[in-house]
Amino acid sequence: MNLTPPPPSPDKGGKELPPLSAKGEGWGVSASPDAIVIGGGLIGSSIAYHLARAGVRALLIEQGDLASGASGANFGNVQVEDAEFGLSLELTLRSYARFASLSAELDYDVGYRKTGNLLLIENVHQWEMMKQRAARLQAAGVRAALLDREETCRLELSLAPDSILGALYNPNEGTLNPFKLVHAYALRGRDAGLTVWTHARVTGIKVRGGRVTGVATSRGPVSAGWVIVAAGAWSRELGQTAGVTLPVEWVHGEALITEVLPPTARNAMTTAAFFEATEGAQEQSVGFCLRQRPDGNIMLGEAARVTRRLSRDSTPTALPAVAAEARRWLPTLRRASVIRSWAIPVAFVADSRPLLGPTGESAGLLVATALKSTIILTPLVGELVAGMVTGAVSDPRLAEFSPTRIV
Amino acid sequence: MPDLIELAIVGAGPAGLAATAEAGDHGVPVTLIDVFPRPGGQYFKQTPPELTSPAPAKDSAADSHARPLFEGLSRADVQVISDTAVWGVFPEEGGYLLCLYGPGGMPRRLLAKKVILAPGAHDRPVPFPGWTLPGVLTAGAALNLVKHQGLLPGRRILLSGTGPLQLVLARHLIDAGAGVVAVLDANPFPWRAWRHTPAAWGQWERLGEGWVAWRTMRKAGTPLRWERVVRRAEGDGQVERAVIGPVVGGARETLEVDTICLGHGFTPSVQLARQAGCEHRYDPGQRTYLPVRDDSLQTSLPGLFVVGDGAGIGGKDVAQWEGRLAALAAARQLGRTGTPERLSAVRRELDRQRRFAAVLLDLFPAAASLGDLLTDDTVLCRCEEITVGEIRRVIAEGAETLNAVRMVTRAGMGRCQGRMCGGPVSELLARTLNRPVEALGQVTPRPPVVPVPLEGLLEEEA
Repeated sequence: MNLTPPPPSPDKGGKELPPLSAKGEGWGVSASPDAIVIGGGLIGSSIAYHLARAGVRALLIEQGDLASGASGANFGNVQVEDAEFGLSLELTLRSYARFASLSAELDYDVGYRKTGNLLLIENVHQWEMMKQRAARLQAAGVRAALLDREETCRLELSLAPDSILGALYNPNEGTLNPFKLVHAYALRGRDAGLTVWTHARVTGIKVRGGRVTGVATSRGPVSAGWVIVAAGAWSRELGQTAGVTLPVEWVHGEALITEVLPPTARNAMTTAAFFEATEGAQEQSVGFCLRQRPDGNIMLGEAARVTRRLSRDSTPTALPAVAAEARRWLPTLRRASVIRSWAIPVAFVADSRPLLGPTGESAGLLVATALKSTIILTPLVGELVAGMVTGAVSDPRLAEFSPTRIV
Repeated sequence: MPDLIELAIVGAGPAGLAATAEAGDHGVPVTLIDVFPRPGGQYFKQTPPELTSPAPAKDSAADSHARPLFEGLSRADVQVISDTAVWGVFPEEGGYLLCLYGPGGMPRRLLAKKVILAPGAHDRPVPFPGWTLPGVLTAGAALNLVKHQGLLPGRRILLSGTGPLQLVLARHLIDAGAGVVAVLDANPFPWRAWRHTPAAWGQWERLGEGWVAWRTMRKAGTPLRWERVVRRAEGDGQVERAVIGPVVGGARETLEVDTICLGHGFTPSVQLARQAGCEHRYDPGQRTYLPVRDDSLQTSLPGLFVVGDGAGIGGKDVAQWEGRLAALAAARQLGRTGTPERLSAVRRELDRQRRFAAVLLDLFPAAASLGDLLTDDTVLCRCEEITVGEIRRVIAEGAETLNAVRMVTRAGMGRCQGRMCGGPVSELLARTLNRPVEALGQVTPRPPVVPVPLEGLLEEEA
């Protein structure tokens, strides 16, 4: 164990005492945790769980409910095929290996199952990109295969064949219930001594003499020698409070879900057009992706718009755009009832690599966000970041994910 | 963007019809959108011509009241869009964008300078063990069957709930030839009613309606039993027995019945106003969130009004006068000012009707303690089939808000989007954690607030 001792408290005011939650979980200035994790999504809850399991006294702070940001707004895909090559893919595959035993490890059914995944190809340019991708994935040991039109449509009978040239297929990809995964991490983290604050806002990260000293929250100040930012799109403004400019951007992503339908699609599907997307487009871009939940609801996405607004509003322009695209790919869904939509800021970094590790400027300040395909990296990233706190992890290759690599 | 219209009114029940008439009187062109094939809402429901039942019950008093309201629809500057759901309201520059879904040939989008929402209410769901058995239905659904379709929901019927609507239903069922075993009211006999004489003075028609219903029940030998509810419904694939008793403690009895009608009052349909972004506050009396309105019934969104039972249960007369008041305010905002005499007359009549509505709420409050009846295997969320036990488990595991319960269990994520189970789940959470319902957070309805076919979301017809 290699914990930085908490420095002396910088808070002189101390007028407002932190209101204690019903369970008396009253971390404050006098009783401090070793580490504070900001963001109760997939990554934050995994980090908090792994910290608690490593014996670190940790406090997880979430501004809303657990998994109420982008972590609860995704399709639950455990996906390999879209990983960036290099270290990202290496970590993805290492993390993937943990899913088969994840429910057992957490003693909680997180709904993991293998379903397969298709990246749908519509033009020659996409075909060439997917062909190269298939070769590199195969070289890394992934069972990826390039399917022609006939093979693709035999796999998914509802697809409209006219628009399809083929697909990049991986039968080993799967799905889980992200809400349950976050819930399970928080539950088992608590079993190991973790404290979880929901509906509590971090209003600032405190830095003194080049070292992080704690956070200011809506429940009062809390001191800690380690602060870990895992807040998705909200990470940017949190970083600013510590004087760190994090290169987090986000899209306003919108999707919708149908009522329960008979088995219609076994694989998760995503158009390969996402790999062609031009970056920084201010206009709304609409691509097709689909996942039928084990219960039968079909999730359809997605419309995305690069923005600097942090909003959860569904828009009257995105919903018809998503509907039109879904109908083009699966005409059988024309009459399916849509029962809900959602919208959330989804974090990304311009170079498509995550922000993962120390910021360099403030000792004790770590960032872990914008992981692109978040679910699959969740178990490993939690372990890695916990290891950075305890000193168990210090891989110099991780420097390529440095949160301050882009200024 | 579609053309900008002056005033859109959503819902053609008593509130929406009265708002349409009043706006028309002040020269405001109205587009009235209604989800049913024919205007009237639940109270002034018109039996569709294709349903030629032998003798649908006539309600002449209601008919005579409704006639002037329906006549307002034939004005040249009133456009009625029937059979059409509004699935989203979005603030836009200069007004509100309404997203519609209806039969072919109807507009899919409307942009209105002012909007009056008159969405009405739905039966308050009150879960208890066995309430998902076939043969258990709401009083509203039963009334619809017998009044408008000439159908009997069963032969040996038990009514359980509270308030005068149960008596009206009993009368219609008896008149139509059904056996009504008993009417159970969860509240005690309204001894305090005499105190409300001033407020009830003048409400002869409704008092008369109650008297007729009571006489019909006496003749048929149907007992009205106070402080009794159905505690459990039993049967093999269908209701066969009802275990009744006081909500708390006391003796139980078993009645042989094939149908149970639940009449625990109504709960406002606030989904559209909430989706639009109107501020709502929890009302402990009505045990639900209600839109915050100013004294002209405008919500926190300027130019957007909510009237009638959708803003808080008050019945058809409060609804009509609210509709008129909001129409006057909308007309004023649109530059058509009415006379001050008309405004004060509308306010006066609304106040009078509200006093009587308050009497009913006081005498027949929504029974608060029915949560005592829930067992771990009682289904709370019917769409996703989530039981009380599953919800209690995630609460024990740390879920502290309605949204947290919803995300982990999926209660409220099905077809009805929590319209049915939202209240009961909140109340279960409140009881389990011993906190007030308003501390458990809300779940904001997302568009589409009613299920719409994928193609129906498109701006143009396919």
